[in-house]
Amino acid sequence: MIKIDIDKKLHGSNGEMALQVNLEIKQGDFVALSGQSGSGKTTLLRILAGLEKASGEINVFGTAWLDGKKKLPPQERGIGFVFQDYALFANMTVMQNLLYVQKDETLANHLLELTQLSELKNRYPNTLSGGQQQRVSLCRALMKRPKILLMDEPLSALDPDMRTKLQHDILTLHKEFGTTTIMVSHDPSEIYRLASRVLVLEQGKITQDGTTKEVLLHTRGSQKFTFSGELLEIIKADVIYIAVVAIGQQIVEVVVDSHEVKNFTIGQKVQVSTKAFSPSLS
Amino acid sequence: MNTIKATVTEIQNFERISFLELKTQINTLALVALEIDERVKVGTVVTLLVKATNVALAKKRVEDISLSNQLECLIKEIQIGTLLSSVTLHVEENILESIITTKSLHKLDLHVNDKAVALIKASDLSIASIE
Repeated sequence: MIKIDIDKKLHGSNGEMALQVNLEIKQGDFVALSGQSGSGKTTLLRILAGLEKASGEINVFGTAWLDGKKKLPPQERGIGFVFQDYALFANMTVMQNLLYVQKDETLANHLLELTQLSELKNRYPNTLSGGQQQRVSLCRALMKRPKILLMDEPLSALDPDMRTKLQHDILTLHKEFGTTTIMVSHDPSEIYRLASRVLVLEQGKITQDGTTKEVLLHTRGSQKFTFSGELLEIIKADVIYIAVVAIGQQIVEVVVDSHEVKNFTIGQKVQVSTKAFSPSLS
Repeated sequence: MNTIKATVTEIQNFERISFLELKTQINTLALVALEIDERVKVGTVVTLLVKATNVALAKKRVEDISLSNQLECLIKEIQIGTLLSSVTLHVEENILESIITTKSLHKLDLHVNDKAVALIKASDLSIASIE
């Protein structure tokens, strides 16, 4: 079990903010960490990695990583960290990047094989695509067989096809190495494919904590097809009304009756929902 | 609006689908949904919701039809439009609105204070809230 109970003052975009997190994570879990930028996600990962100070306790499988002011140095924590911008050593080949962390050629070859990078092991990072570089940094993060794998939006700089490939690699490695993985992500499809638990951070506090479906599937009663949107316009047409609603990057139209229409004002946030039986896919 | 209060009398679950039977004072209703909220049990009172465009009308009960819900009602108001018309119905204590084509309204020759039957598919009925 990983126990985290930490407190840290942050200077966020809306002034001072307290990052207060108290949670337990089971060994082998894959946890997605979501929330708006500035909510404290990256800081939480950096505190876990020992790269940033905080007060409180962190206990990982019986070992204290943080206990009041006593702090276990980052290199003794058994952490693998994958950053959004790969952070590979440019003057080293793929293989050298891996061996720099741990001199274990057998493991390095095994990792490169699992991620289909074996043929690129003597190449330098700047000759590789973004997706290949991120796969190398994923392999490098696993060279110490970390207890916890931390990933900070690892796939956000990649195109959709490469994302899918890397999601597969991440899942393979998570299972093969039995690591406990915490990944910052905003992408619902990515979270659904990879994680079993989702935490949502808002203003330094965890506001939602549940299974992927509990957190991501928005429902209204038994209506499983639900979106939040902004009401832009109501147009009268014959005896009915057409409500124009902005949802994300799209505009949708919803028919409302003359009684319903009285409950709404332009500009307000609305839920657009229907039963899972009604929409069609094409 | 367009809600009906009812008590759950039966729940059947199979794989991820739930089938519910519900009772109002005089009507029996059927509802199909994906994985119903676990707080809903036999005896739970729920508010059901149906979209006005999903309420069809008939002059009297229809035999030989797959549609599960037929509610006897009284027409309280009719708003006749060019293509569509809105018919306000009293079903026990509930008010339902039905939007049908004006052509159908004339074909059925519906008038205020007439009795009618509101037809709703089990999959068009949803649970809006649990009491």
